[in-house]
Amino acid sequence: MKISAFLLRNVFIVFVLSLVLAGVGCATPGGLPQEAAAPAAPDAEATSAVSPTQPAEAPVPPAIPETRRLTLEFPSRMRAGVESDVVRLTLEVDDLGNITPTAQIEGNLVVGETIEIPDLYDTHNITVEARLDLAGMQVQPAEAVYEPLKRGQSATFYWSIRPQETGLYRGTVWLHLNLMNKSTGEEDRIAVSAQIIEIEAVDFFGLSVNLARASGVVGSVVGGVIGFPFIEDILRFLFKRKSNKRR
Amino acid sequence: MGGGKSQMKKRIRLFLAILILSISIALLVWGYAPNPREIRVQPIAPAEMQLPAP
Repeated sequence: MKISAFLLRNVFIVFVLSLVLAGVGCATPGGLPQEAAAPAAPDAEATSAVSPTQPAEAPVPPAIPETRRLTLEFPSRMRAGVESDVVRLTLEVDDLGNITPTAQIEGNLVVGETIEIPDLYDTHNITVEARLDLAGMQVQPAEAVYEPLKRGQSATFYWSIRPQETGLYRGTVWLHLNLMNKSTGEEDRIAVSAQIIEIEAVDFFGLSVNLARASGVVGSVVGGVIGFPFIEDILRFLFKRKSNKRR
Repeated sequence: MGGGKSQMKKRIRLFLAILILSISIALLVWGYAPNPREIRVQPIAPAEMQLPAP
């Protein structure tokens, strides 16, 4: 009886101990995930680090897919008075401008990446707006001038200018692009260029252009008439010189 | 004496003719010479003709 009671008690203790150990064993897996989760953290950081590159997929605003050249031609000095001259502004396609940018650094060739930019010609109606502001001088046309811009085509503007008085005239040549969205009708305006020009209006010691020209013509006639009787003397003098040289 | 006077007159007349002709030619050259022109060329990249980003 005593032996069986002893065995039963031992079995009971072993059973309780195994239960306790099993409980501890079940409790420990709660700690393991913490250790396992640690390596997962860099993944989360990695994803968060990658995410900033995603905005590169944001839509690129449309642009004109051509390199263009703006040429401004104007008289730097002109005669004051009745005479007029022309200012010419041309926005033309630069054929040599469409080159993929490349660079060579210590023998390594780096080629510029081509970025897909939406074509502005497809999405918008483009109009070039040009204006010449020149204070104190007569400018025709005085208002802004508009011309539609199409793919591969140039736009040219002419102004007629006339200074009434002598002096230094300063002005600005403006060039804007007016863009109208074909689908929404929304309008945008881009300032492309604003060039400052200086034109000097001069006269001939106080003489206007017309007076100088008229005086030149009249003076030539008068000088010719006065000098005409001496033509014979001049020719004789020249022939004498030649004949002396031959001898 | 008379020959000397006429020679003097001739010289003055020649001097005047040359003076008037030279001034007249200078006026004509100034009046009809083409104006000096300035040409500026400015390349415009596609980025300068791009809609501003919203």
